[in-house]
Amino acid sequence: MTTTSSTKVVPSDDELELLSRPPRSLWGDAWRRLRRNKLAMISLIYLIILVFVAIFAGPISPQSPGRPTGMELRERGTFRQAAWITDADPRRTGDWRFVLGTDSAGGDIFSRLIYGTRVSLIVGFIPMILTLLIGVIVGLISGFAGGWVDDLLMRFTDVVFALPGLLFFIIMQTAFGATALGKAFNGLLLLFITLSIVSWASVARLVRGQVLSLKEKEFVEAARAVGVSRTAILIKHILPNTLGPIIVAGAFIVPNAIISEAVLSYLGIGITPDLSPNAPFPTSWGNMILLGQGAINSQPWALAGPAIALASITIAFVALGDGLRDALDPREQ
Amino acid sequence: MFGYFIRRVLAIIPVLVVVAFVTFAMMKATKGGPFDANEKLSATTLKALNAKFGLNKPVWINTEGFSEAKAESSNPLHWVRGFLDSQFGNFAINALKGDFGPTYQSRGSETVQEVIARRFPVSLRLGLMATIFALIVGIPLGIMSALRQNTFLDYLSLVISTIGISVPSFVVGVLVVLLLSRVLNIKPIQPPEAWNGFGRAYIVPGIVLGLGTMAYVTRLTRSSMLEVKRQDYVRTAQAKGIASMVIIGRHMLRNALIPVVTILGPALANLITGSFIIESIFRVNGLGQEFVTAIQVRDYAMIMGTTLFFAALIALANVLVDLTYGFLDPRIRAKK
Repeated sequence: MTTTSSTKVVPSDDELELLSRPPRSLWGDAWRRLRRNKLAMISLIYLIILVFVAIFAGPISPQSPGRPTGMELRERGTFRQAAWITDADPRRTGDWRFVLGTDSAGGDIFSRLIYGTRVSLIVGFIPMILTLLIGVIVGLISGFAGGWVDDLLMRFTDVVFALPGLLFFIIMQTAFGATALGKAFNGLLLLFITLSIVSWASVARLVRGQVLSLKEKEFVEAARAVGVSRTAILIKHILPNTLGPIIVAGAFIVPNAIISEAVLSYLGIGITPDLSPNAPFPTSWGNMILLGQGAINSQPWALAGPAIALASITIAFVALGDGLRDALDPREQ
Repeated sequence: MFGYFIRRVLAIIPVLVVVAFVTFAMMKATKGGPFDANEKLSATTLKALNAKFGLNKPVWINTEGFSEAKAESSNPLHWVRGFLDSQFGNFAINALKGDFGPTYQSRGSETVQEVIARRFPVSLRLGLMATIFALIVGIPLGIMSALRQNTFLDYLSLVISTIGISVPSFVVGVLVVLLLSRVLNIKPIQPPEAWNGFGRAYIVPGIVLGLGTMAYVTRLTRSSMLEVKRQDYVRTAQAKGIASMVIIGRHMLRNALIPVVTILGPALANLITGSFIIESIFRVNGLGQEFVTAIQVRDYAMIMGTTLFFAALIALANVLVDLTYGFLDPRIRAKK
């Protein structure tokens, strides 16, 4: 140790620089690690662009996402091909006003894709927040209270955890799809509830495990010793330390929710398409896939467009989630 | 080990009870009966149909016997009898016997369990195809990329597995159908007869269904092989001059595959539930497609029966995997 140093140690320049550098926080470290992960950063940028696309869908999209009226009404029932394709039928020849062509009702595929971003993002994020909220509360209470409260909550969580997710979503959507709840906001409200009802169980388990190990740590004991209340210990000392794994779990919940929505809409029990011209959520990618499947030979972009959009958004979220996991928990590497 | 086995099997029961209860409650919460949408039925036909399916009975507690003997209504046995004679009671008792009643679509000429028996083998073959693909491609790919770490092969398998994990089989299925029909000019949709017997028709949908699991198996095999590679007993075996194939097969794989077994449970669940979508996309004549049709026409009996069947299957798969896990790794057995 340094207590009996008779010889003077001269720090090298490197060491001096190391010492003079301001201390880095845990989050700063994580951000630095994330920034070095190229795939995660590209995904993050792509997702930020998508968020802007979703917010400014109106000004960005070249056409109205709804059904054309007036002059273009005669084009109904014919699929216009993608812009670079020429067809014998002039009504079906590509037109740069409709980059990816139109669907059977004359709706512009590209504009509808842009509007579909809204549904995918909102259906990914809101259930993620609800899921985390329920899961964190249950996990915190269960882990911190212990005893019969823990037993009761965990047995309940076990049962929910074992429920087959997609099967359950289908039942929910079929049962409530026709009710007032199912019709609210094009069925979005029901989707939020459906998609958050099962997946909180894994978050609760995760948080409980974290709490169980954290509450034995010295810093919690110290807080208890100086008389910090139980609630304050839980919220100020334990919760912040569980945030890392919670964020990682959240990043993986989003793509799952997006896919579940697409699957449900593909089965015709997800979002209700809104035909009014100024609808904020006219369609979703899953719904477009359902419609596009009928046109596989006459207008492939009606199917390829939403499928590629879905694939890219899920790849981005999973890559970001992987990056976050590596950044927040370097021990995993 | 035996106690552990019993406990794991018993744990399925509450799950199935919850699934049955919730499914039933939700189906009853919907407005209108199953025959509303079909066509205009006369009041008498509707009444007869409802009576035939027991839909004229109260949903939870049948109080019919109560009014005659009011004094006795505090008798708990009455409530039990009332419960057993309700719609839910009848459903639960019959479901225990494996009888889910007639489907509404067939107007009573075919029972749900008959439809399951007829259609499930197709889904099972599809799931089998997917599992075989996932294992015979995923495990070797994982082993190779672990043995040739940081080479082109490793990066290639990393890219494949990342895409396989993040892109759901639903989207892959749609893209594959497009690719086959538009670019390669192969008809991706097979006629219904193609699904009898284990034929070539199963290859494409099986691969699409198994892609996610394959990717997961690759990743897991790779990471656990890398871990095993550094173990002392592997170095000892190498020092003794044992042929590298023997080391890989006998010493490394046996330990590296344990984590792979653990994910087979969730993977099987994914394969089973994923089959609804893949079956709809490729028009596979299986139980998944039947389930999707049942949803669309709101055939409650079929929906409830299939849901319970699928839920039981998934729960059973999970238990089976837990047991295999305990069997493979003596350390886990010792702990329980």
